[in-house]
Amino acid sequence: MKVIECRDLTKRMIGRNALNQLSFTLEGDKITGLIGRNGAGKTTLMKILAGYWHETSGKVEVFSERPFQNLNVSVNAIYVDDQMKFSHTLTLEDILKEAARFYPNWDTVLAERLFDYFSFHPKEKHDYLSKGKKSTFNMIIGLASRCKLTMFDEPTTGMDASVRKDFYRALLKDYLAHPRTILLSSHHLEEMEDLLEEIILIDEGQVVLHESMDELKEYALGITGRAEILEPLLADEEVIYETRVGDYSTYAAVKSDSPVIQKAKQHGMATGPVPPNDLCIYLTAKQKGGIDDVFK
Amino acid sequence: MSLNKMDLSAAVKKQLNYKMKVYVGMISSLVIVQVIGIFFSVVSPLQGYSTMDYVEIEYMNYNTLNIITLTSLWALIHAIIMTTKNEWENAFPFVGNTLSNHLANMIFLVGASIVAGIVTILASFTVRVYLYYFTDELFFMSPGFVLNGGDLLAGTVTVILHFLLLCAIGYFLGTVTRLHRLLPVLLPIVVIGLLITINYINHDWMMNTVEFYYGETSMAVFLMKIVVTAGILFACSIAISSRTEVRK
Repeated sequence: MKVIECRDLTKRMIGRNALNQLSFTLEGDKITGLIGRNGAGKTTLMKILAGYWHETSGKVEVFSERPFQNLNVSVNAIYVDDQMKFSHTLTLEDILKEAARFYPNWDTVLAERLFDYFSFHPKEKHDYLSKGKKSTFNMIIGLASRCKLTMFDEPTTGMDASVRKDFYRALLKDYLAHPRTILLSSHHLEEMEDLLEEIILIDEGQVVLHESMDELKEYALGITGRAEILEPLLADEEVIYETRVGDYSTYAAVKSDSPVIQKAKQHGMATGPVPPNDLCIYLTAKQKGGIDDVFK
Repeated sequence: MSLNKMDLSAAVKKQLNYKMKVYVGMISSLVIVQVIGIFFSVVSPLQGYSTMDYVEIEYMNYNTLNIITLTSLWALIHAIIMTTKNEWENAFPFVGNTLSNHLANMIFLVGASIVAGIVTILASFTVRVYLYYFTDELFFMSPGFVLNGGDLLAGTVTVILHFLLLCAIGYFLGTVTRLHRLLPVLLPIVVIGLLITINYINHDWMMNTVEFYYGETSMAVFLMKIVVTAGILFACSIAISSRTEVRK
């Protein structure tokens, strides 16, 4: 069954298209990473999928229904981010109780055990939690609600390293016990590499890449070699990324089926895999050069 | 994991339950407003003085209009607050859409009006009891002092409907202000300006409007007028915000 289907999905925000003819389909129970730079459209996409925002044009379906203001989508999909707001009259304990009434698949035991593990106080107020604690609490709601489509938008904002690790582990364990479609957006791809089965890389409101994690790891190869030999080889080929290393060496990332690799190997150059995180950065680089060029 | 279904009535029911927990503060503020109203009613009677031949009469006229006025403000302000962006988002429950959230809010306001109406009538009894036992002066009971069952019922229903109308007006104005971020400032100015202008151009118009509702002598017709007006205001609130996005 198709969980998410987007075709030519466009969302116009003030002055620009936050989503620009974005198309992808998500099927089956998987953990998918939604990766992109700041402002790429990750949050916009998730809010449309959750039914909070409406699309400007194109087609978007969640569980074969249009999500905007849709109760069936609302009860089966949860969107968790660090902006979640709860009434200040409710304590943390109350919020969990209320959430349990709204979500039919709610797991009270899991919620309570996570609540105790992360040492929350039942009478605390959500407003007064620290940033990391808020994210942790929201994560508990996201996991315990057991929604068929669970979306986490930058779930680890403010969490310390150990809580982040716990979160990924809890997510994986709960997913294995109760498979469902989980969509995770984050900048920290390197942290989630082992968790994700699939990634969707978006940039400027469009899908750049939608691959399984295994394919992504083999998507590109990095070549390091002497600049005067390597650079002419790259001249007429499709290069994902190219940079000078020191004065005489060049590092380049090319697609793994590129003819350059064979030639480079003949020259005795070293090749190696490109880490997915770096690959995503290369693929979404705005222009040649980096921050250093700003200061030149 | 199978898909769950949620229909509108189930969502509204759950949300109404949620609203009752979230807006518990509305009841405590009602109590405070009533206490203040009772206090004002007791300490600030309308004072008068008249002479006739050799007789001088000094009188104090106690009434419970204070309580009704203050509670009216309470109803209006709470209804407006419910529609503010912050409150709307804070009280937006886990599962729902704009329509279900509106309906839950409206049913809650109807309930709040009923509670406020009953409490207001009871508060007026508190004032009566206080005056009966604690005023030293010569005590005259005006025709409305002792109520029979019919009056009591009519009075309660009237007050409830009055609060409901104010809730509906507040809710409508609050919803309108959410259409544009300048409206919270502009709308009160426009509304008050309009009222002044209308009053200036045609003095009777406003009196007639008030008369239309509050000059009604038939209970059934009064009930109809208020319910229909409140219904229209609520429906307009739903209609103008149906495209509103939540959680910006």
